[in-house]
Amino acid sequence: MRALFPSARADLSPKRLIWRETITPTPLSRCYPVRITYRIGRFPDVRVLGPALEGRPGESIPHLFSNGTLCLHLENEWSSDMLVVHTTVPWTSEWLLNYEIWLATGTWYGGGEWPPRRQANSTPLPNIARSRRRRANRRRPG
Amino acid sequence: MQDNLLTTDRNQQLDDLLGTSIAEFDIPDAVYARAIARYDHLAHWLAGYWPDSRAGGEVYTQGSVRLGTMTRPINPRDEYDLDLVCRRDLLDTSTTKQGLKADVGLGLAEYVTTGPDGAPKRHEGNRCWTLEYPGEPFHMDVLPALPDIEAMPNGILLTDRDLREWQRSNPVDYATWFRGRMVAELTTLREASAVAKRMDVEDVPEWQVKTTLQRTVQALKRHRDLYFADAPKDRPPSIIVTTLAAMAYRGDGSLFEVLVDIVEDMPSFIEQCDGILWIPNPVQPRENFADRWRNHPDRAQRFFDWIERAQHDFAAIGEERGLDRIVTKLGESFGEDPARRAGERFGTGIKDARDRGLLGISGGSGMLGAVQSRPVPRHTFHGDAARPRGS
Repeated sequence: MRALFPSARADLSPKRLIWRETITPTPLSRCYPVRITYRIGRFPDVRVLGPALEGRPGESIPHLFSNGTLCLHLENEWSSDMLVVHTTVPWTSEWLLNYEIWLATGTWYGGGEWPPRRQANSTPLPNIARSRRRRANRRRPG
Repeated sequence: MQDNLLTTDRNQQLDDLLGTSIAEFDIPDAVYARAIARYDHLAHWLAGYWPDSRAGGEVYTQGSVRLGTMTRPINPRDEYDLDLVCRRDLLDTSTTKQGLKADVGLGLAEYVTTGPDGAPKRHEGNRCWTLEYPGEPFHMDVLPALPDIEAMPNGILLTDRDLREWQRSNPVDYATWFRGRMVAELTTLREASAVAKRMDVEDVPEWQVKTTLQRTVQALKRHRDLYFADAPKDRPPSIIVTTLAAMAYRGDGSLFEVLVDIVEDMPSFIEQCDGILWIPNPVQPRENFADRWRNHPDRAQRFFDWIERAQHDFAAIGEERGLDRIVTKLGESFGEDPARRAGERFGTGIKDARDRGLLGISGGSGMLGAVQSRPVPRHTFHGDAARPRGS
């Protein structure tokens, strides 16, 4: 991560990594400071710190959890043996690009499902099952 | 297009969005092919018909169809104009303006009775004849002409609107001049197209490629059509827009740079002669394309107002940050639909690149681009639909 993003700020503790960097998804895009929080046994959380995400008149922002973090993948598409820099970071960049195009066109061209349906065939990963139960369905990864 | 999408160069990506928006104004290939087939048939038929009469003649294209700058009308109910010259090889001393018009009208009437494809109908205009093709989004305006013996081989004499005076024109040499302003890029584009399609350069029709100058002229014409939507009579003629743009073109630069530079420089190519605004025909300098502004100085003023607005609007596209804002600015210049479609193509292009394993990310900025070492893995955007956030 340090090699690819030398200017990023990383705050590492035994059970948690907080990573801050500014992502510019395309040369025509705005710059978005983001914070990625990774807790052992859970999916990485991504929050855009600015500029404030906007909706379109009468429409909710797609692929966003109700707590304001980004929904980037299905449960079975990420596991703790994957590197955040190779998955969460580029997916965040893609999310931001699709968000800008959605603002302009009203259509999300990045694929995925919105509004989402319950995932019938996805199996929670063993190392996150406990934390998911503890969260008692408060949220699902996206 | 995908090469430009996956670039980390701002100008290239801006050109991609801009080029996609402007390409929306092209006449669709299938419509163009039908229109040209109808025109070819007409030209061949008349070429065979005239030798039986007292003089030969020729039908050929002029204006935007010859220059490759046809631009979709802003009102979908309006049709594409294909401007044709119908030159009869007679002397101006051996016919009258009315006689010439009637002579061409007779040839067209005979043609229509042969039942050609498209079942055209002939209508009479002030100084030209129109062939309407029912159900087609185009018509042909056929302008009667004589050879201009003072400007052989391509000069022609046309009747004016009131059929009173002969006017000199030379659409063939004008098109050659216009082509000369962009010939280097035209050659490069045709060569690239030939390589991509594995064919000979000579077999790549010129209309299948569009140079930066042609795209710029289309952009200017679309901006003009929107600006003058409520006052079409005040609209500066396409020949003025095209001539000034081609004069101002320096021969290189990105589409965005050329668009901004040309619209800045166009007014400086308008001359003043004894207080009269003068835009010389580059192949016939005695002809002033701005002649009508003499009797309508308000139209000249509206032209300068429009240019100022276009300068402002085009520059604003490059000043924005955020694809959404850039698309909005493109919409202000060219209309919402082409701008939105450019945004759509951008979005689908990026997803397609990711699905095909061609999308990568740059270190430092997190910028998406062509894959260098590791492609962005497939994934599915999802979410919790119960209480979506945002407004």
